[in-house]
Amino acid sequence: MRRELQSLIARDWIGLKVEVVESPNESEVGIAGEVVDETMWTLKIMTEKGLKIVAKKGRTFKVWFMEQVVKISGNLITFRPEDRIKRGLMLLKRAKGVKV
Amino acid sequence: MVLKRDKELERKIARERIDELMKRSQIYKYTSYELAKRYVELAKKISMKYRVRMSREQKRSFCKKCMYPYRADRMRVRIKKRRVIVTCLNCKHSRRFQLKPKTSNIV
Repeated sequence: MRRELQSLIARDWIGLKVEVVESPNESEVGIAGEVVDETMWTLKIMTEKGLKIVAKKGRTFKVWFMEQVVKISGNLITFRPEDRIKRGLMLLKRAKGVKV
Repeated sequence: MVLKRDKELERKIARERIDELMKRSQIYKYTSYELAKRYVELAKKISMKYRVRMSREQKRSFCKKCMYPYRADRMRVRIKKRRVIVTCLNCKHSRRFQLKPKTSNIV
């Protein structure tokens, strides 16, 4: 479990398949597709119906990665994609009970 | 005691991300101009931030001025006086590469 967490939080999600599972906005639930771009607060997801821009904060995402499906809260990844490597690892180190 | 950064691990992840982003920019260069540019820019930012060098092929695969990967129908390659001159036809920025003299096998 720790390898997947490390690999998922400490990298940007460009190229991964993603689905929105929970969101304060009901019309966002169910948006699924490949992440095309990422900013500090949003994910740009390419769905069948076109490009959708979804905020990260307050949403929960299902991510398909290394033949596993992981549910991650968007609050953990509100960083710029180039910052994600460093800040993601620091976040994991600070969390109690997680060994990197 | 302040938490220490694991710089080796960061550099390892950065190398993987740079390779993957450059590959994606080559795939998207015919379909989306903005995305291909964005992936090259991101790869460069990651390389600068974590002090990881790109390979020579990666560095030479895009225009340094407009950050768009070179494509066969948007570049001009000329050879003059033992130099290769590559011009990007998007922004007209050109750059030169030195050619090393080939050592022959006949001794």
